Amino acid sequence: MFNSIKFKLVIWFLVVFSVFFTGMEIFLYTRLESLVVSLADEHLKAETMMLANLMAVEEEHGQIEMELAELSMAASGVYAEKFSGHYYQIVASDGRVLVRSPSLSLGNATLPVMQGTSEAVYSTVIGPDNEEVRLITQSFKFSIDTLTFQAAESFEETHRLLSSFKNIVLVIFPAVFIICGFGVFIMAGWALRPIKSFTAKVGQITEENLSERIEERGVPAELKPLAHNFNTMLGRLEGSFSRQKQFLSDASHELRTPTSIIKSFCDVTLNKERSAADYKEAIRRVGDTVNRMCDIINRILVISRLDAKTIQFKPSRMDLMDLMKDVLKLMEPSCASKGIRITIDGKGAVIKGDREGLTEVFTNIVENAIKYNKPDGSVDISVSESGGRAVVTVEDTGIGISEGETEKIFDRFYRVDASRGVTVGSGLGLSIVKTIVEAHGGRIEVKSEFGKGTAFKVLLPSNAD
Amino acid sequence: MRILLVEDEKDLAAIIKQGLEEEGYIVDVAHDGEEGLYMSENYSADAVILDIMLPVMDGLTMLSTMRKKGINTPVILLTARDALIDKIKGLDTGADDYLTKPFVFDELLARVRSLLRRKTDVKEAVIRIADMEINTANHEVRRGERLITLSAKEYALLEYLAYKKNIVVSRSDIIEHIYHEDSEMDSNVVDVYINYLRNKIDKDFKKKLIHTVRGAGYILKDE
Repeated sequence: MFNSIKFKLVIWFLVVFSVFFTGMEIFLYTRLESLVVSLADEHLKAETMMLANLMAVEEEHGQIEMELAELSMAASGVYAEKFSGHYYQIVASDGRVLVRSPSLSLGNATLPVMQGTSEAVYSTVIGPDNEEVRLITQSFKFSIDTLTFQAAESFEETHRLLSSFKNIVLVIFPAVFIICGFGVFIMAGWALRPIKSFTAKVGQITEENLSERIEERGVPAELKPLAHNFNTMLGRLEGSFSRQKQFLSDASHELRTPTSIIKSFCDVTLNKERSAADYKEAIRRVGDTVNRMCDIINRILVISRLDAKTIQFKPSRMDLMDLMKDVLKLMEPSCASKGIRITIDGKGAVIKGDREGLTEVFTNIVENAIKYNKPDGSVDISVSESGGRAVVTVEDTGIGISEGETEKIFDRFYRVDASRGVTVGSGLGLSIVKTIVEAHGGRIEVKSEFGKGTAFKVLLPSNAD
Repeated sequence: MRILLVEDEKDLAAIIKQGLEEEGYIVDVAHDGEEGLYMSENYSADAVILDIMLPVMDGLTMLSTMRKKGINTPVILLTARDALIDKIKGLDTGADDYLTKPFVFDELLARVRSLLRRKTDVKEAVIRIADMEINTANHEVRRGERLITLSAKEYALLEYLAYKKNIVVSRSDIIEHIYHEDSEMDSNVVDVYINYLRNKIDKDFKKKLIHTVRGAGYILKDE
């Protein structure tokens, strides 16, 4: 739940939203406050100027004293009402309050007395009736004295305006917060719906229907690469699965024939009483077949280990000539029994490779060259180096491979038609050879003429420094 | 009865041949499809045991060519494949039966017997003619309550006549289906064996079962 994209999306949105919204709120509030205060200030300034102008006019007429008295008494409108929130007073340079607006004098109150300068000074102070007021203090020069004019306006309205703004915001903010959060939750779910259906589709694919693919059309752009990669992976999986299946089926097929032979020998032999010699012969032939089966099983094991890469090659530097001579020694008895002449020449080639693996490679190739040879035929081996590559060729004068089959001889369990029944083999030898050679970074080539002979060429990276 | 075995694994062919011969069958072995086809055309086999995976010509091709040439010998397919599709394909190509390797040898024998009965009126392993019972599974022959002991050749001859009961078989038919082609046989030998058989199954009984059809051959009949 907490570790879901949906949840994280909602949380992220709400955090961003509340930071932004709170910031905007504070900004608007301070802007509004300063706007209201500056409006009040302008108004106070206008009032003060008006008073000062009145005084100036009366001074020209020499009636300044009378005007002062008039201002104290005969104010009208908001200034005539006690504690109306609108006040003025005029202070002499000696600190005496000369004039108070009726709104002050009726309540016997005074604005905080200050000596002003020619520049207007604004301040927020506690005024009459314990109310916060905005106060302007400015002095003007007259013939009689320098008089300080003070005017004040209650802040109550401003406060009411600001607090109602605050209240509205405090109600609206959580409501918008909840609505948006809910909306984002729903939208996130809606936006993530393709993932859900994608997951369901992927979930339907099992070992049984690996050939199915995710329909890439109609998948949202963000999921397209995922669908594409998934399909590619499915393709690889399918291939590897079917290769595995094929291998298993081929392997069991290969094992069925020797099993049938063993089984038939046992069944037929036990069907009636026989001489000791007959039993001996039967056991000998069963034994031969079991050996053949073991060989097949061993090769299947080698192949599957090569596939799983659990065979660890131990590379060492060696001259392929030495290795080929060892292989030759192993092969000599079977050569002699078939009357096959075997030769080796060339300058040799130093490589780095796994001795055991490469012995397996060349034993297989030479063994085939002998097995599929004609009586009194020959096998010619050469080991040389050219163009940074070690080259080993094994040429025989055997039965050859027909053109269409040279491609297939490295396939698992493939046996050349003419070899079936003629010579016993697992059909795995050359497949193992190819895998080992390729694991050494080399390659194997074959050239053959049907009825005349075959030449195998193994190329390995040379290591001659 | 003569059986053609087409199998490329020489060891397997050898042991099947041995097992069948010990049951009194004459067995011809071919190691590839082409040889098998030739033998099926030229040797009068009563049944063919045919491997599918064969060199030169595979078993199914050989089978369909055989059927196209009008050779209706019953065929049992013997193969290492047990995929259903292969069984269906094999049977549709004209095989009469199917056996998957590895098999129990006695099952192969039972299936061969069943195939041999196909073209006859016989429906079970025991063939009855009058009061005679021939058990083709264990080669026991009885007339009435009496157990009659026969040599392998005598039994093979009796079984062949029994499969063809109420049908006249010529001496050359008998030679073809009972004797191996490399044993020097002339039709007199047939007469000799018929004589042995008569001594064992007809001599002590009032009702005679083996009859000579002059100029044509012999017949085993119950009326």
